[in-house]
Amino acid sequence: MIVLAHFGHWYVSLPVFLGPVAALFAWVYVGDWLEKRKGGRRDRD
Amino acid sequence: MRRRTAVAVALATAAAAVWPDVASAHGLVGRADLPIPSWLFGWGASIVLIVSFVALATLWPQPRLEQAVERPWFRIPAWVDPICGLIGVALFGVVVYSGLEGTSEAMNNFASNFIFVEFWVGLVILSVLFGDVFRAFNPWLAVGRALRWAAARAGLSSPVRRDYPAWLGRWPAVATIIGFAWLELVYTQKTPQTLAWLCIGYAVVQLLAMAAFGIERWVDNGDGFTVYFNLFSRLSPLIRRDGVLHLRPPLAGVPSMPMVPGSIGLLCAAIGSTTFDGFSNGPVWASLNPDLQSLFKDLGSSTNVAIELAGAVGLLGCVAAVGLFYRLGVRGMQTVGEGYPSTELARRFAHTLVPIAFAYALAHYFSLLIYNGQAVASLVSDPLGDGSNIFGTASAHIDYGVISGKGIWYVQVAALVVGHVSGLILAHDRALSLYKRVRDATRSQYWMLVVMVGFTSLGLWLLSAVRQ
Repeated sequence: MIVLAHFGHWYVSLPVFLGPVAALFAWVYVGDWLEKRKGGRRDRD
Repeated sequence: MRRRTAVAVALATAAAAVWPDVASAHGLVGRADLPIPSWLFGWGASIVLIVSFVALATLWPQPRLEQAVERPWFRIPAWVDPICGLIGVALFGVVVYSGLEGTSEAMNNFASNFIFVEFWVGLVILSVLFGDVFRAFNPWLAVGRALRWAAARAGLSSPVRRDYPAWLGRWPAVATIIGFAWLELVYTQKTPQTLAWLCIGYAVVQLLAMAAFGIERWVDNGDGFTVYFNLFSRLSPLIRRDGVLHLRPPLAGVPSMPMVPGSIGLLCAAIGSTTFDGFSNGPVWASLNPDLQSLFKDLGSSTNVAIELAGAVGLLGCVAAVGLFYRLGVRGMQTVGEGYPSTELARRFAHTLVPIAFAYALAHYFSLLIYNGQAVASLVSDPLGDGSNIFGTASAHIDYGVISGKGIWYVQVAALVVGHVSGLILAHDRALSLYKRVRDATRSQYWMLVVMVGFTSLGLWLLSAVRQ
């Protein structure tokens, strides 16, 4: 448990560095989801 | 034309964001004096990758690297191979002799410096510049071939050959690279003597394996170092085929990399071991490591064994994290277009990790090569560290002013950006040949863009954490 607890205090620098990755991931993920939704609607119509 | 101009302007703007004030980066300036915070370099590098992605999607509509043409340059004379082999065997002999007979202080022994700097790091760069250099100088390959030649001259039959199991693929190489990284980064007893014995043991295993499976078949799959350096040689514009040196476009050798079992593992091991090198010098590992060691001590390990086990966990964790991140990108790609199975996509796009492995190696080990590499000048004159001065260069010192800390940081950022843009180019080229519609090819690469930006940001975070 003590070992695992270390993952709780990652340095602030990591999320700052990985900010663009998170933003890109969200954009691609949402884009894919919208695309699938659009495809599903087209199939129903 | 207007579109091309717009892309060029965007690329220049993004590059300026990553390398500001580079013209004034001279003199002995520490990395603490960087003009902008290091995380902004990460964001700038991400912008360069995104702009490169857009440029590829608009300006690269056909696969160009999959079927790249190689042009013959010149025939390599027949005497070159035995001469290179002899040099390789002689160097191996010097390394083993200095390891066994020289001082046990690693800093003053030729063996330690040669193995960890010139061999492990220098050969990676030489392979990218000049092709498969290690294969030419590989000492156990030279001995194996010499024994085969001698046996043929004496009319002896070759040893019993077994088929190299297809499932084994490059897994022996994966084990070798992870083992070597563990030896370099974790093992606490790595005296020059230990290194020399390990060199002998490795060479003996290679010769036995060559006898069992055939020389070329084993070396191409199971000899960890040949396989490892061959990876990087695929980035080179030079390739040797049937004794003739050929020229090809840079990166063109990567798509033809055979994806036998263990290939993805090898690439993850190459990137993961370098990642661990950076991670193990940063604050997170400094905080985590003592508790991991305590855990192993509580389980009954001695102090040294606890250190080594904690390091092994960290190393394997980094290799697994790299593999997991790549797999996540592939899973994303699977949702696009024809719905290829994720194992197929993982195999088809794994070659895009080759330039990343090189970028990580160059970025992490550049300072080691540039500083510790200079020590070879004094060590060739005093390989045993006993005060001899064979070539009169024993008093040569390392010039730490050869490049500033700031200069090293810029080289590291440039290596990571160029390496990841190369990865994007390879992925885009493969996607164009894989997907029927260009739109699907581009959409599938959104996920590879996430992977590339992730590896770039991770690499810069690791490097910036080391310097704090």
